[in-house]
Amino acid sequence: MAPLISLVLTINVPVLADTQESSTKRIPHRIASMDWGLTETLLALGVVPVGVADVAGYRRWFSQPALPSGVVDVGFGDQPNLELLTDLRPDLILITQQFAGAEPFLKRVTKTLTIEINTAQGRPFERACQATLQLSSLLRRGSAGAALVAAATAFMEAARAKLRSYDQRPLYLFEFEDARHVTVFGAKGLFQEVLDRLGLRNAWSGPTNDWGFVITDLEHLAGNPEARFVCVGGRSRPGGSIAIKGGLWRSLVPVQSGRVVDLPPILFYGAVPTATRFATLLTDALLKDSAG
Amino acid sequence: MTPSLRLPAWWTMLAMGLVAVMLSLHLLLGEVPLSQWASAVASPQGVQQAIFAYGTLPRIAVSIGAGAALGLAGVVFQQVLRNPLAEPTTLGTSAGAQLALAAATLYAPSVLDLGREWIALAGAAAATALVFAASWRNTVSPLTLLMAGLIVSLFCGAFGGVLSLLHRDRLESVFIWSTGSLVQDDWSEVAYLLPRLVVAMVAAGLLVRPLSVLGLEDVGARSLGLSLRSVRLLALGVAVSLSAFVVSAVGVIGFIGLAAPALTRLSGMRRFRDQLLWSPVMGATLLWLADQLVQLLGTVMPEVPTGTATALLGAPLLLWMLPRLKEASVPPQAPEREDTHRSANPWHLLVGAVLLLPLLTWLALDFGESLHGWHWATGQELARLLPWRWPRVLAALAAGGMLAAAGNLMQRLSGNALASPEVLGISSGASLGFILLLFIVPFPDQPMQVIAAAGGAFVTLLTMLALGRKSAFSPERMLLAGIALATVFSALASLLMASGDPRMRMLQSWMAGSTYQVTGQAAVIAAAIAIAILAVVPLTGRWLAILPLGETASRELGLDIAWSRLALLLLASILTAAATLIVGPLSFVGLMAPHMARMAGLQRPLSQLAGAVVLGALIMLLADWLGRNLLFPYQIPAGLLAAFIGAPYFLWLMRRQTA
Repeated sequence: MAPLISLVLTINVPVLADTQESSTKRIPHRIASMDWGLTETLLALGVVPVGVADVAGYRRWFSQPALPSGVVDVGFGDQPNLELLTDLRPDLILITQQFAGAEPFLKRVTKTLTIEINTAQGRPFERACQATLQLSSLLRRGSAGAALVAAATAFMEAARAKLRSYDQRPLYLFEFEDARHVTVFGAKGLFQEVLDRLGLRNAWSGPTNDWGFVITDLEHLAGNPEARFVCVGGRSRPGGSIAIKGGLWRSLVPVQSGRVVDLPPILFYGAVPTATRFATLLTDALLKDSAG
Repeated sequence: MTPSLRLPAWWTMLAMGLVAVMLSLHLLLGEVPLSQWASAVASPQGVQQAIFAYGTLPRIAVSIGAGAALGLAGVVFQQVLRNPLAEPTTLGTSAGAQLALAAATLYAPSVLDLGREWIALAGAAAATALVFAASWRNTVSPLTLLMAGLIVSLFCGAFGGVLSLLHRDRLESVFIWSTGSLVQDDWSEVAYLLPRLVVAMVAAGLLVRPLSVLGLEDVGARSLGLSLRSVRLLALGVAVSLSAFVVSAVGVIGFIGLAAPALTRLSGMRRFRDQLLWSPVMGATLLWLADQLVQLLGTVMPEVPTGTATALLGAPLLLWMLPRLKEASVPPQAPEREDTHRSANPWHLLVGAVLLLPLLTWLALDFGESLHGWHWATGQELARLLPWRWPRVLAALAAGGMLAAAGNLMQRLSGNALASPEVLGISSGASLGFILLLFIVPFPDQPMQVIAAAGGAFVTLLTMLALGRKSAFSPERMLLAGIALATVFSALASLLMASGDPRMRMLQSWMAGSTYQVTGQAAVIAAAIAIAILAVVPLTGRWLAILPLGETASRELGLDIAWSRLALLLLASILTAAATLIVGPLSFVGLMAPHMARMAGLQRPLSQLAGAVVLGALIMLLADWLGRNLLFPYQIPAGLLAAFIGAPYFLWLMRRQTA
């Protein structure tokens, strides 16, 4: 599994030599990205941006694709440092709808492009694939975008085939916020779409917001006792180390039957590389757990 | 409290208790049939019984225990402070606890292993100690404590704001906790809360006699030979510990501590002994009922955390109580002597400050950090940077000047040196308008944000005017109403933060008060408003000189008190609203600047006002410049940075004033 994912992430098609001088001028080559999902898409396409938002945060959440050391940190995506951005002289700034507040200011620096991934209509993975293709053609990355999307799609199909040996239990996908509250992932989210592609069922059918999650009480995970628990980020809080061990948690059927799987921390609003990484980790973990 | 409305003592409590019991039975029977209750508690089998035994039952117990603790803490606070509005959150306890928890989560997560209760307790104690330190020398005077408590809460909020701004993705659990969720997963919180509650009740019981005497005036109590300070401190210690226990167990639950003693008194309990006994019972009943109602509502819509619900329900109660309050006796402000060294000619200072203004403005425009380190920008580079810098600099100057003027008007108007636009409620109103907009439009653009905030400020102003009319715009009432609004606002804000919605970033940066979003046009408009209103203010010079002398003196001097107060209030509101749109709801510039001007020797109303405006502009300019450069390329909002200096300054000032 791991070699395949690193293949997907390192595809690096050389820029097609453009014979005409005038058209090269129109290809943006100094890109600044305000959104982590778009940043990872750029890197996966082999484009190194000149500036990205919140470098430390990106490195904390995205081990892959790694951010080269020369990339300039421009501050938080919703309030990037405009003076610094001006100095960087980008010729294209990429934002998502979340950062619309800064758009009027960014427009004064240079051309901006808003790409929508998480919307009220859902299907963020499909949108992330479209964004990959759009960026690939805009930045003249040749077939890199198509290859990336094809590899991700093919990977999901292969994983789906492998998962036929999985015991087909539905999944509660969640992250602990504290010992009594969880963020549950469901409809409209990136994780949900990956589940769909892998042919897995989500045990959570409750409402979720535009980013595909809802924060709720632990007891709401009792709705389907047949399910398997998938703890994104494991059974401790990020930063904190509160062990999850309360009486209610211990008496939930999946916990009593040992059907709990821990995944490393994955951010729920990434793009195609994040979706692939999630699919890899989930497939491996599920096959291991249902076999053992 | 005038007994204008007397409820039959037993019936109210009994009726509320009955409803709570019935709702609980409905909930419990829906989970496990009565015949299985005993076995379900002893050893729960299956999910339904586990929820029953580890979720629903301990939640009822926690709501009763926390409610009783808050009711007890409230009645003790109100007796000691002789203020029917005092309640467990007034002393900064919850804010301190929350800040400690946030800091520990970020910087020393291993400390959380000791138990988050203890960290919260340490923060609560530290915040409360700070409040005491600020008001120590005034034999723990009621009003001083209340004000200090508010400022410490606001300061902790500002501090927490910076933390959450810098570490947004890791603070979810703290946000959840700050909404006051009573959700339980076993009996551990009950086991934590109950023994502490019992000890505190016993301690309060031992203090019944001296506390009853405290209800009398200071002189009366003193003649009985009681050490006022030790009795008050002991009682406050009990009440603060109680609130800290509740806060550390279930988070911030507002207004139960206010409502329980109030309802007890309304039920006809006159003697403190009775109030001490029945207020915890009332508190327990109230929170139990509130929590059951929240759960019942939760079956048809997303469940609101109980703490948020009580805060939202409590604010109207507070506003209803305000007009029925006996006129709180505010000690007349002693004329300041020790801190005003009358310089030969204070106007020299004013001229100096005015000369400093262009110098610092130039610095703020020209000098700063960039991709190539710190340097002065020249020529082409300056031309490139100026379009970004001048709107922020101009807006900061205008906002600082407007807040200083508003603060000065408020202080003259109320004769209270601690008044500031933060407690006027207008800034909270503007922020509420913005929050409301986020509910309606997911991604509002800038003009929409401005309109929403101005609308919120205006509606708040109208409400305040309507509330104030009855009391001829009594300054204390207006301040207290402002505080009530600030509480509603912070409850709503933490509810939104806890939703985890990524667009709450917008709300955060708004509350933090950044000049980031200021366009050239907005800056020019702000400056124009500032100049226009500051040109009108000198016409009010006579009022400003007379009003601080008190109502009687003002009337004798032939002043139309209601009209002059209304006019000044309007001016202060417009100034505050316009400034809040730029630097957010919290900065304390409106508090600091007038005091600095007076300390510099500018005593007459108009010269103090002029000095305050110039100093306010300077402070904000500096805060904005520091905010842009300290953590480059990240930016600390100017409003937060100013509050960082302003809140400790306020407390220091209180300490000196009450000396």
